[in-house]
Formats: sequence, structure tokens, C-alpha cells
Amino acid sequence: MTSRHVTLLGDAIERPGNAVALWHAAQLFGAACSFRPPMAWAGSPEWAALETAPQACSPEALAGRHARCIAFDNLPGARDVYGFRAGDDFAVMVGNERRGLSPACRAVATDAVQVPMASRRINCLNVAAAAAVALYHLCGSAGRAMQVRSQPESRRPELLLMGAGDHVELGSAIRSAAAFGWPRAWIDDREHAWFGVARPLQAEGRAAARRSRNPIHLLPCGPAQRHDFAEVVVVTAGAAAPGAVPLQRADLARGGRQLVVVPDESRVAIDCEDWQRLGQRVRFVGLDLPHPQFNRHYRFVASIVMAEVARQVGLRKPGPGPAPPGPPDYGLALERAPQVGEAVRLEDLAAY
Amino acid sequence: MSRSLHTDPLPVRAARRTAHPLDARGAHDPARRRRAGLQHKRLGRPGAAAKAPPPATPPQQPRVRACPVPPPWHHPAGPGAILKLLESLPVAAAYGLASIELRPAPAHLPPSDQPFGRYVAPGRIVLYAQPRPPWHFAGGLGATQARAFTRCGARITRHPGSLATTVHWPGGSLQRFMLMEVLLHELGHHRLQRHHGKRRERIARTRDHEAFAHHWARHHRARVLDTEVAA
Repeated sequence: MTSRHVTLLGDAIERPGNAVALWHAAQLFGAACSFRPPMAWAGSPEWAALETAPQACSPEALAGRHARCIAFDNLPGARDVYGFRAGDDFAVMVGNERRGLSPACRAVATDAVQVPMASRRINCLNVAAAAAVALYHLCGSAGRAMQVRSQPESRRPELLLMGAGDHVELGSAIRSAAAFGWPRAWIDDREHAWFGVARPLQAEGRAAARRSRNPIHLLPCGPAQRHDFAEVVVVTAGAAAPGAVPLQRADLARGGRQLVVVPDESRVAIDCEDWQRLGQRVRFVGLDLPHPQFNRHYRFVASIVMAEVARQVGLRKPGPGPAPPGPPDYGLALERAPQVGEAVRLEDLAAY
Repeated sequence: MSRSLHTDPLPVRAARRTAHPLDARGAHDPARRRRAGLQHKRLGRPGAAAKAPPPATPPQQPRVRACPVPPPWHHPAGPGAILKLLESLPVAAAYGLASIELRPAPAHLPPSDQPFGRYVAPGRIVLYAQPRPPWHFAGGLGATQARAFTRCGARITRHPGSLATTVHWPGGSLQRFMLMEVLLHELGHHRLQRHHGKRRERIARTRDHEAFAHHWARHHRARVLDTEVAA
């Protein structure tokens, strides 16, 4: 990992929260972080808390520094991030929250890569969450390609987002869940970040989740509530639990009897939690992040896990489609009057 | 608006194309003849103007194919009667019609669902074989159906005290029914489908298609009857 030369470029990022999260994502994977101006958020209190100045970089300068410039956006002809081999010297460019990548960045891009989305209504992730997913797959081993199945939805496990402490982080994770195709998700809101919060927090959280066009069904789940799933998979990103298997080796496509739990490890103590209340068999899965000591935003962990589950669940095998309608055909037949009277059976007549 | 042979009204286009069915589509375009004449004149061959169109032949009628049917079934209207009716109609009525087929009734239908005819786009009409009269039904006839039968000369008898109906077809009334009610109705479907160009698409709701076919058949039935009376 240390031999890699990776840069994350945020292209005209507008929101200071996203800029900070991009910085943290780059730190988490040992990459440098630069921004393409404008950077109106540079003087904001969120960025000032980092106590460092943002590095401005033009796409042309970035292209001169790296062997490959990867445009990470859902562009036409973009390849899936699953199984993509980026090499050791590359830059990842992520676009503006509303407009995506600028033409200047697209012009210097050597590759276009995307995360396949299952939803038709939510067609992209939060920019920082997308950057985390991109760096996880491009900086780690290439992994396997997207699965193709005849009935992928029968393989999709249930999802529990547990104990998120920040409403924007939880909202971004909910947005990712909808984008990756989950029709519903369980929310363990023990930190009171989602249900019944004050109006400003509620508005920010719903905006982060794109709730106006996000059809996901959220099911509240109490911290003491008991469930009976056949298998519970708990994802840990920090100190790996004993016996935890790497994320890409775990089977995360066992259908509705499997529950994938994504706890916010800054609020939930993995060791102290009673996992047996959720199901019969509990397994731990580790994210295996290169630098887990840095700020692991909840949206990063949740989006990385959901992306891997979505890869294993797969996409539907392309079929022949419905048969085309035949030519118009109009018939004329004998028109009978509506049947009157009563139907009588022979047995009834004999009895009569 | 620019005009060409392809934007002719349907009756004009139908008459021209059925009179010369094997010619190219723009063969008798006067503008083309004029351009060819000017070209010959420019080349110094003023006498070698384009040839005038050949004399029109009688319009080609669609092919009528009859499948033999076992008794008690029969085809009330044979190919001769069908062609005679088509000759009395405007050329545009059968323009684009590929075939009229006289076929046995579909085997998968129960005898109570007695089919009369069918139009299959883009240009196929099927007239089904009918049982020899009289027809006996359990139950009654719909009002529209009974009016259509009596209009062609059928006698409908409702047996008092039972739920059965008998339809007698004296003389050529059954043939008249198949031609004037069934065939004209299917030609109405064809006329609407052909007029709209999208010949393999469903260009109207079924109810609207049926309504147009019904009105078209009624209009042309009156014209044919007027012609017969005048003759």
C-alpha cells in the first residue's frame, strides 16, 4: 500500500462538509487530496477545524503527475469499479455535487469508472461516500467483477444501520442504501439522529438522504428489540474482532434470512453489544482499511459495505424481454343475449 | 405544400396503383415525364419524349382462397360472389388487401362462439364456414345481432316456454349476411388500418376500430343496395 502514489481530486466541490469528508477519505486510504477551484468553503469553520490549507490543483497538473487519471462518475461507457485494476500510480477525480465532473477533468481522464447503481430514482452516491468506495476498490486488491444472476433480489440481505450519531452521515448512508437497491432498511436510532429530532436536523438529514425522491422504507428498530435472522453479519472497521473475515471473502448474498449490521463504531461498542438478540449465528466481517486510525465517517463504512453486498447480490441477467405484440386482429362473432334463468343440475332435478 | 404521387388522396392513388400493379411507384408521374422530355430536348432528341402511360387495365382484385369444409359446414358466399361485391365497391375499399380466405371455423372455439369473420392486419380477411341453416341456439340473440340478421332476411323464432332460438335463412339471405354484414365490416377495419400508414400497429382503440368498421360497412351497404335497386 505504501508504494502506491494516489491522489484524490475534488472537482469544484461546493459544500464544506463534503470537502472535509473527502480529505478524511483520502487520509483513510493513504492518498493525497487536492481540489480544483473554486473553493469557497476554504474559510468555513468546518475546514478551519482541520488546521490545514486546502491544496488547489488543476486537472492538467494532475495529469502530469500521474500515469492514469480516473474519472469517477457515471459517464457513458464508464467501466464498473468492481474488478478494475488501476495500478500503483493514479489519480481519482470526483465531481461537483450537482453537476458532476467538469469538461476540463473529463478531457484529461484516461479511464472512466463508476459504481453500478440498482435504483432508477437515486442514481449517484454522496461525493465523499463515492470517493471512499472508489479508493477502497482501486487502492486494495482488484476483487471480483459484478455478479450476474437470474433473480438477484432473492439474494439481497436485510440491512441494519445501527447507532449512527450524526444525522448527515446517517442520511448519506440511507441514500447509498437506496442507490444500491435496498427497498427497506432497519434503523437503530439509539443516538436520536433520525426519528423525532428537531426540525433543522431533520431537514438536513432528509436532504442528505435525498428523501424527496428516495423511496426506501425505513423501519425503526430499538436497541433491545429481538429478531430471529438465520445469520447476522456485523461489520467492523476499527480493531478487527477475533475471527473476523475480510469483507470481500464473506458471503453477503444469502437473502432475506441474513442481516448485515453496520454499526457506528464511534458510538456502539462492538464487544459490549448483545448480538445474539438479532439472530442465531453471528459472524464478524472486517473492512481492512489501510489507515483505520483516521476519521472513519459512518457514510464511508456503510457505503463500502453496501457496495460489496450489491456486487455480490449482482444484477439481473439480460433476458430476451417481452414478446412483441402481434399485428392488429379484429374478429366478428355471434353476439348472444345475456344468459337469463338459473343453472340447474341433473341431480337436483332427480331429487325434485 | 409540395405534392407528389405519394400524397395523392387515397381513392386516386388506389385507382392508379391497382390499374398498374407491377409498375414502379413513380412510373406515371407527369412531372417526371416532363423532366424527361426536357432532358431529351436538351440533348437534341426532341422527338424521343417519354412514353405515355399504357392504358389502364381493370383493377386487380385481392386473391380469394377457399378451403373445403366437411358437412354440415359450408361457405355461404363463394369466391365469385365475393369478387362481384368487390367490383361494386370503390377501388380504394380493397386497395392493399392481400387475400380473402374462406376457412373452417377455428377448432378451439366451442360451437356456441360461432365466428363469422376476422381481419388480420395488414391485409388479410378470413371468412369462416357456417353451419347449414336453420341454426338452433340455446338462449337468445343480442339486439344488434338480431337486427343484423333480420336486415338480411333471416327469420328468428324464439320458442315460447324454452330458452332456445332458431334462425332460418331463406333463399340467399345467409350469403347476403356474410357479404353485406361480415365482409363489409372487415373491409371497414382494413380501410381504417390502411388509411393510417402504420399498417402493423394498432392505430385505434378496439372500440373505435369497431365503430369505424361498423359505420363504414353501413355507408357502403346503402350504396351497394342503391346500385342494386337502380340496376
